[in-house]
Amino acid sequence: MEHTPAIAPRTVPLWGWLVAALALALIYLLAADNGLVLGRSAGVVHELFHDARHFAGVPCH
Amino acid sequence: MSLGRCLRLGAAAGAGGGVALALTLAVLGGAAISEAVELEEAAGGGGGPFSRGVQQVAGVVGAVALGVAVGVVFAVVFAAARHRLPGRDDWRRSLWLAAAAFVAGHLVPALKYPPNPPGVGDPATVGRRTALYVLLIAFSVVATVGAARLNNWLAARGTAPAPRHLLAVGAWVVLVAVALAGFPPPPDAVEAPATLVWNFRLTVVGGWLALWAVTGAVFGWLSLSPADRTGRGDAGAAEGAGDTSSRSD
Repeated sequence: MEHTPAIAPRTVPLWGWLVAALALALIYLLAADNGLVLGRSAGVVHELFHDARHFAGVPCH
Repeated sequence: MSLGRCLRLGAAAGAGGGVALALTLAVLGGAAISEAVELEEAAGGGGGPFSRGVQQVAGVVGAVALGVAVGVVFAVVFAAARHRLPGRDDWRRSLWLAAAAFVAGHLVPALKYPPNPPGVGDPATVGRRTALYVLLIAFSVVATVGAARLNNWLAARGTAPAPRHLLAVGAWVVLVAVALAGFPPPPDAVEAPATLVWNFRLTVVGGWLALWAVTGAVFGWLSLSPADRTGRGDAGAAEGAGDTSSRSD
């Protein structure tokens, strides 16, 4: 933007992106998986985090 | 700031955002969810291995855990995109990124696949619904990053602000409109009472708004040096003249 002074770009090292990927995977497992990855235990995760899932607005049931 | 510190700030900010999500859940959304669960059980459905009490506690824990994970992703993206984000300090950059994340990550996908209370939805289609939802989030995020890159590319070529903002926002609107029209409609009929569904959807949007507002604000606040926060130090006197926080890189 026009008021932004130039600041040096930084390269995020691989481990940074790996941590982000891990966090994304956790979000998916916690909030969205319905058995694709977790298989039959997905039902338990689903029931346990039922309210959080619904509140996150992810598809359910 | 080192990447490790950036990630810690992100996790802390995300935990705050998760608490905001859980608070919204408890204060505004709890009634709608409980009402929906009662309807579901009255209809002979529901009734899992956990009591409502356990689910409510786990709901809070889950919301905070979700917030921490979201905050970590936010921090990595912030570190990578910091030099491209609008705003003259990390406070403004953080708020901009959080606002973009709210719109691209929640608001746009929710317009096509709005959240439903418990008891709505056919278990047979949940795989397809989940896949469509995740795909639309991915598309929306890519469209938003693309529009931001277009804006910055035009800026680097010397295009004036007004036309490049119009071009970038216009491109974003076209991409989002095409996706909203082109993605298949949600497959399930919604038979729960319309008022319950509407209240539930509004609270979910409110919950994400609270999560992103708190995450962006806490991360931005923690990214500033103490002098920048109050504007009393040398750094504060130089506000507008330059980016004072980049010295710590």
